[in-house]
Formats: sequence, structure tokens, C-alpha cells
Amino acid sequence: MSHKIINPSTSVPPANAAGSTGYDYTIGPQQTLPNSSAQSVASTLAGTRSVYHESLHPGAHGAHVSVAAYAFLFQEMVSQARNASKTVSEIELRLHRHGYHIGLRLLELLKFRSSVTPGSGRSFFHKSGGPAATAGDAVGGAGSAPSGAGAGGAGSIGTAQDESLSSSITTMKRRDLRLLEVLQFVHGPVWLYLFDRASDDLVKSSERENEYMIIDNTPSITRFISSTNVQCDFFVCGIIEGVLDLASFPCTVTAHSVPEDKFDRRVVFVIRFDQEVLEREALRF
Amino acid sequence: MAIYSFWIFDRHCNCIFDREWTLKSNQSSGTTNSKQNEDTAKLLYGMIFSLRSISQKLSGEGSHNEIRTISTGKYRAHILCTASGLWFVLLSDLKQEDLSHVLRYLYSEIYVKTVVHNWFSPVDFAESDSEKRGQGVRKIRNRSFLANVERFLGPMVN
Amino acid sequence: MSANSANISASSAGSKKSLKTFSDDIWKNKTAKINAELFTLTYGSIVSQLCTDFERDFKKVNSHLSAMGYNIGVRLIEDFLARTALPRCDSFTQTSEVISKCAFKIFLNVTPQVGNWSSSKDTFSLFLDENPLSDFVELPMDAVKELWYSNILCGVLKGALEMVQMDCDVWFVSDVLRGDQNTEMRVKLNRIMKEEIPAGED
Repeated sequence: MSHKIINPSTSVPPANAAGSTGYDYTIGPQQTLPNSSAQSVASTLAGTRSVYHESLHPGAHGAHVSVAAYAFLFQEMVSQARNASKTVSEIELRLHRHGYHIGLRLLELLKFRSSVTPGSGRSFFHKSGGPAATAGDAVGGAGSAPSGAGAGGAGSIGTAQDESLSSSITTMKRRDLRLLEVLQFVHGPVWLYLFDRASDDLVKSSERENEYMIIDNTPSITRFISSTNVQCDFFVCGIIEGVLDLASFPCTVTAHSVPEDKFDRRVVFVIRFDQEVLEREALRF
Repeated sequence: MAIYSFWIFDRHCNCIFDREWTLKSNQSSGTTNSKQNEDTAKLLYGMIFSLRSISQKLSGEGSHNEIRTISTGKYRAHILCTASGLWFVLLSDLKQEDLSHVLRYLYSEIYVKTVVHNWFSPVDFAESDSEKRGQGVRKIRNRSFLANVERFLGPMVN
Repeated sequence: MSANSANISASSAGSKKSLKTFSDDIWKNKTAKINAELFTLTYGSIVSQLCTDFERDFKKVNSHLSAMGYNIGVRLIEDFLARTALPRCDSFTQTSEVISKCAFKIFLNVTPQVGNWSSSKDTFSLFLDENPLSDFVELPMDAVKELWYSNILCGVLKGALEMVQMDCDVWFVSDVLRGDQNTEMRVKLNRIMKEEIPAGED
């Protein structure tokens, strides 16, 4: 993720901002400056933008859908992956990739939301991007904040409206720099966000220095799946790996079914960090 | 309490599951998805089909009038017809007045959870047109469904 | 349960209110729930993967999403009927109400508005003011004209309705993601399918 920050391209004709919608996917979402052009975009796309901006507010989280709806979607995703694959490991790779892209976004989203002072009014402000954006320097005025290039999906547009969400952020949460901090982040906030509870355990392997384990006794999203030959938890592996990768803790994550006592669906996620991560830990601290 | 048998028919008029207990004293006795029961299944289907059509005609157009139980001198049939065209049927002794809650449980807690939510199991058991209209032979064979049915109905056999 | 079902077929004014109360109760008390954003993100990941797999041929993506939806719909209907115990509808008007107030509510916790009925009463629209599939989403320029981002919903409705003997066409006519004023789905009833009868009975 060493992308250069992409500034608004001057080659984009202004008519585009006022008239049509969408962004050029080869460039990524465009930053909108807080002047007349921002207003024209905001007014032409009021419906779209407000939904889009509001969704970053911590208050936006809390909505639910039924587990049944999610289970249907998830199973159809698995079934698509099966149809498109020749081997079991290819299926797992596909599920992993789906999760990975979610993980990349989660790190940004959760860190951003946790930086907002609780109780601030609901407002429209959108800000997300590459890893640099969360590192503390991103608390500029709305619109002037640097933005990274999201590969798609969540974009980077800051639009000042009546009250910007940035005014309720005094200090941007620091990115986790230590290995244990970032693991705690996955075990706690990430799990809490995804499954409404923290994971059941976080342990260090006694055998290998670079290995950690996150344990889930009752995995929520694969509970309807009865097949044992495909490890659908690779989707969650992807999420974990996406979060850790974007936080600059490159690793590989695998899922292992390890039933214990009354938890017949218990899953152990094994996280193996790349060697460079351990070397860095040793150097800096 | 005594249950004699349990049947599921799909919207293609096929029997997609049958379980018959022969000995009260032995819950695991009897047959599951048996070839021998093919004719019985057709007769049972025919009886419900006819009575259902007649009762719906008698009640007039437009109103819902599903058949629920049929009593004979020796047994009682309890029936749950879903809007999607599935029929769940239990045959019991005459002491069982109403087993609709049992049928509903079989549908929503067992069939939906182990067949509908299981992508490895089909939901349409007719694979071609020649297997429709009562001419299909495929059955629910998924283990989790079978195990749950036994666990739930087994204790009610006696 | 049966009391509620009876209400559904009662007078239309009365049933509207009871259908809402009935669905709210199922959603509140009898439904296991999961973070809606995980749902949104998972769907987003599926769509973006399809765009890559089909090399940004959005027409193919649309039809693939609809096919995925169909696979879901033929199963989802059983989950729906098991939880609601509703009988078949007496009219297509009633079907529209059950879809918006009950089905959308208990699966996605939203209630689209029904409107725009055709004069022959065989086609209506669902207006999705809230759409849990499309939060966070901004379409790239090349997709804006062709991609129906939430097309999976069309397949779900088609599949589910077919299982209760209604042959329908379902399609999107507008989407706020494409810069339109609202998000509108059309549902057209082609015919009520006959129930199968055993061979030899006709």
C-alpha cells in the first residue's frame, strides 16, 4: 500500500462534477474541494452524497439485518466460489479474497469512528483513504485533508456542510504500532464490530515466535454451513489479514476447526507474521 | 402418545421423505425413505389431494381453507400445507387431537434449518420434468435432517 | 400465528396496520440479527469481484447478480413462510403489501414504499428509500450507466414469488447510485402458475 496520494486531477472536466455521477475507477474516487464545485456536487447528488457521508459517522453503525438474510447471501457467495473453482484450496482462496477487501476497509472505518468524540451531532463528512490518512495528520479542515487512493468502494471525499464531522475529532486515533496492540484491536473492536462480541481468546503460540491465535468458540457466520471439507472461515481469515496488512503487519492467517467440549464448531485462527514484523518489533522497542 | 409415520410431499406431488415406525417399543424400528412405501405414499397423497380439493371447492373461491386433520376409525392424519406447496403429514393414533405445533416445528426448525439453509442440499427434488407430477424418486437424504427428525419425533412414537 | 394469518386476509384497511405490527413483532422478538454493515461490505465485495471476473461487462454482472438472487429466493421463501405462517395472498395488491411491510422488514429491516401501480393492477413499484445493500457505495463512471448495483434483489423476488406460483418479472428502473432521484424496482405479474397435479389425474 505504498500508493502516492492522488490529488484531484485537473484533467477531469468540471462539467463532469456538475452533470454526471461516478468516478474513474482507474484513478479512484476524486477529492472534492470545499468551494463552489463542492456545493454543486453536493446539490446535484444530494441524495447519494448524504447517505454516503452519513455512513461514516459512528452513529451510523448499529443497524442490523437478519442473520437469515446474511446466511443466504454468504452461502450463495460460497456456492459461486465453488462453481468457479477446481480445488478446495481455490475456493478457500476466493473466500479469503472477499474477506481481505473487507478487512482493508474495516481498519480505516473503525479507527476513524473511534476518533470521533462521543455525542457529537450527526453531520456529513467523509474521510478515508490510505494508511497515512489515519496517522494523525489527517485532521485538516474538511476537504483539505489528504486522501489516499482506495482501490474502489469507499472513496475519499471531504465536503464541508453545516457542521463537519471533523470538528468533533480533536485528535485522530494513533495507528497501532506494536504487535500486541494491533492483535488486541482485532480480538476486541474488530470482533465486536463484526459479531457483537469480542473473540473468545487471544493466545501466543508456545512453539513459534511469530505465531498467534484468535479463538472463536461459536463462529456466527458459518453456523449454517454443514460441509466440513470446505473451510468457510477462510472468509474471516481474509478479514483479519486485510486489517493486519493495512496496519503494516504483513502476515498469513489460516483457520482450523478444533472442536472442544460443547463447542463443536470452535475455530482457531492462526496468524503467522512475516519475519520483518518481528525484526521491527525488536528494533524499535 | 403414538405416532405411526411422517411424510413430506413437495409441490411436484412427490413424496420426498417418509419415515414409518413399526414397533412402539423400538424407536429405531421401521423404515426410512423406503421403496416399499411408494404405493402407500401415493394413496396417502391421493386421499389428501382429493379431500383438499373438495373442501376448497365447498368453501368457495378466494378464501383459504387448508385441510388440517383427517380422522378415520383407526388413525388420524395431521397435515400442514405451506404456501410454497409443501405438505407435512403425520399419522397418529386417535388420541392426538392436534399436532399442528409439531408439524410447524418440523417445518421451521428442522426442514428450514437443515435443508433450506443447506446449500449442499437441493430444495427442488425434481431434476427434470419427467420427475414432476408425482413421478419423482429423489428423497431427502441429508444426515443432519434425518438425525434431527429422529431426535424430535423418536420420543413421541410411544 | 393463525390469528395473525386471519388478519392478513381481513379488510385491506385493517390488514395494513396489523401486517405492520405483525412484522415488527417478528423482527423485534423472533429474529436473530447481525451487523448490517457486514452485510453491506460482503455484498460489495461480491459485486466488485464479479466486475473483475466479467472484465467490467456490467450487463453480464447484472444478469449474474439476478441469477444469484434467484437461487436465494427459492430458498428464502421457505424461511419466510416458516417464520410468518402466512397463507397465499388473495390479490396482487396484498402481495405487494406483504413484500414491502413483511418480507423486506423481517429480512433487511427496511420497508420500501409501494406505488406506481399500472392501470391493470398487474405491475407495481417498490421505492427503496433505504437500501442496506448500497451504503458506502459510489459507482465508478464506467458502471454508472449500466450496472444495477442491487440487482440481486430482483432475482430474490422472482425466485421467491415463483415458489408461491406467481410468475413475475422484476427489474430496476432507477437507482440513486446512478444519480437518479430515487431507487425504484418494478414487479410485474405475468401469470399465476397452475399447481401441479399427479400424472393421470387430468
